[in-house]
Amino acid sequence: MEEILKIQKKLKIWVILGLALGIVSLPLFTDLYFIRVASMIGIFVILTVGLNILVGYTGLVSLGHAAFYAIGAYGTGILTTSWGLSFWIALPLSVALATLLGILLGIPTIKASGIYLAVITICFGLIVQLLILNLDSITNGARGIYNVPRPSLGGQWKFTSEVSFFYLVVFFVILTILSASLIIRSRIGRAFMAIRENEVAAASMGIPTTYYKVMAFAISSFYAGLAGCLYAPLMRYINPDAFNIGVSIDMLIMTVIGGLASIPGSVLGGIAVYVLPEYLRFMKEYYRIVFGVGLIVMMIFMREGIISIIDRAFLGIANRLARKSGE
Amino acid sequence: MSTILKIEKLTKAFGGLTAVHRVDLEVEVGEIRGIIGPNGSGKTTLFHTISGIYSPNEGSIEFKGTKIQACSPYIICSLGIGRTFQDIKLFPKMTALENVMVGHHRASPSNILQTLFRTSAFRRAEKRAHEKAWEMLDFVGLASKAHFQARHLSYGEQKTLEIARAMATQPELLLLDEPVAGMNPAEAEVVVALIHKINGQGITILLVEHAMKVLMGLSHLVTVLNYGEKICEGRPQEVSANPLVIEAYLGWET
Repeated sequence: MEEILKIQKKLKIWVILGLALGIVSLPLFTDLYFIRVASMIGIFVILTVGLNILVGYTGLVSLGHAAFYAIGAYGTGILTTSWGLSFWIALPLSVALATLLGILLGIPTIKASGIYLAVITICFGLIVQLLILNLDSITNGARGIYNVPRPSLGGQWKFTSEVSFFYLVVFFVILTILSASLIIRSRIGRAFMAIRENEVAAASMGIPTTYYKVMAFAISSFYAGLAGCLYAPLMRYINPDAFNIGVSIDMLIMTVIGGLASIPGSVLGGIAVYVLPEYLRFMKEYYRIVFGVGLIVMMIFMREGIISIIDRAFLGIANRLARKSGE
Repeated sequence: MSTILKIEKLTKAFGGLTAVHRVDLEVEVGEIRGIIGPNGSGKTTLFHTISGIYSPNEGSIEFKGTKIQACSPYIICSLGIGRTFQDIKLFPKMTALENVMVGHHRASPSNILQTLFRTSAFRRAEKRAHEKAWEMLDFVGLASKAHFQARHLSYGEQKTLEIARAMATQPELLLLDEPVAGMNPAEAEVVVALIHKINGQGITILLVEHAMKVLMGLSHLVTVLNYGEKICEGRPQEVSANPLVIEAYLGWET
């Protein structure tokens, strides 16, 4: 048993290294359009990993996370255009604002959970979108913000090209996966999971549940804000439509499809939900139907998400390897 | 001997139903106090009120001289009251070891920055939580099941794991809500020995149990509840001979 787990771990490290190499060398094989798509996937991975901390690990639902994504994007958009600030100053400010609002949205969890929390988060998402639409003097309303500059590090270090910006996104994706894993594998992560598993028992074991639920909201809105900060300079143009409830729903779908309470699952979910529609385009307007049916079938037969198939495959291979080395 | 828990005129009502009515209870340090009563007599409500899950309508609860009736469960836990649940409330998808480590939450503090940077303080706290959890699993005899998810343990093992998790909170007063209910005699015997061992460390125990032989054998004093009121208190032999108690349980002499 121990042997198999060890082999499985080794296998996983090799696969991750292989994937990392593939991603880093991606620009060598593909065209600029795909690099842009890959950057977008990276942004969705950040969103999904962040949402998974809230939904998968802590067991709280949010259908309003596009709001934090919007705050990150608009914060960066406004601060780097009309305020003329550097991206590197706009980023921490926007992420801080998203986190602060995340804390605010976390406070109702003292009283509300489940379906009630879902409704509260939907309303929050709608309010933020409406504010962006109507605070014309700051956000430019429905017209959106144009010419968001790509960041540079001063001198020749610029992220203006699609390829260099892709690498910037990859950097933040790695940072996200790493930090989220470190949080999950700790006392904080155990507190999150205990709350998900049984809140009364968690409180009776000395966990200040409200504090940790608000913290889960703060952390996941931190990541959503970060994703927004990258989205604005990637697209160079943002408008309120990019942050509607559909985006919140997509984020939740990615998290569940990939695998709740699994960070690699979130990465896969982010990739799957963004890539599949691209390849289903030939079906024109029917692709959403095919996609939807696929999701339903998956939720019935594979509730643990895409990650469960891969986990099983890893275990199978590790078993075979262990048997071979035993012979 | 000094008093560890002092409850005065405690009342807890749910709408029109008074589950606990003006109950007084005083427990000495190091005592094992049995609490019995027919189903619906208010035993579990009493436990939930002491541990802060319910807040009482009236009356006071004093633990080591501190009034705790307005405190949240996590504060009551950190003051030194640990508990188990009648209907098992483990964290089913976490391993046995992780379940016990959650019990150690208060005793191994670390903040988010320490967590992200894996500082030496973080690593020390995490190591201690690990060691303590192993120690507790060993103490209750579940070390071989450490890496199993709680939901994959047998019923008896789950009940025992609840005790290990409660002990990890380092309680001075331990509330055990039907610890041997549903166990076979062999399993029950192991838990009885475990309760003796825990009490032997100087930990005061409040025990609710329907298995009379177990309860009468363990308890120094027994308190009897009926319809939310205390009807009798005394040594096990006295209580089992009390006509009020017999009436409450068997409905004799109307």
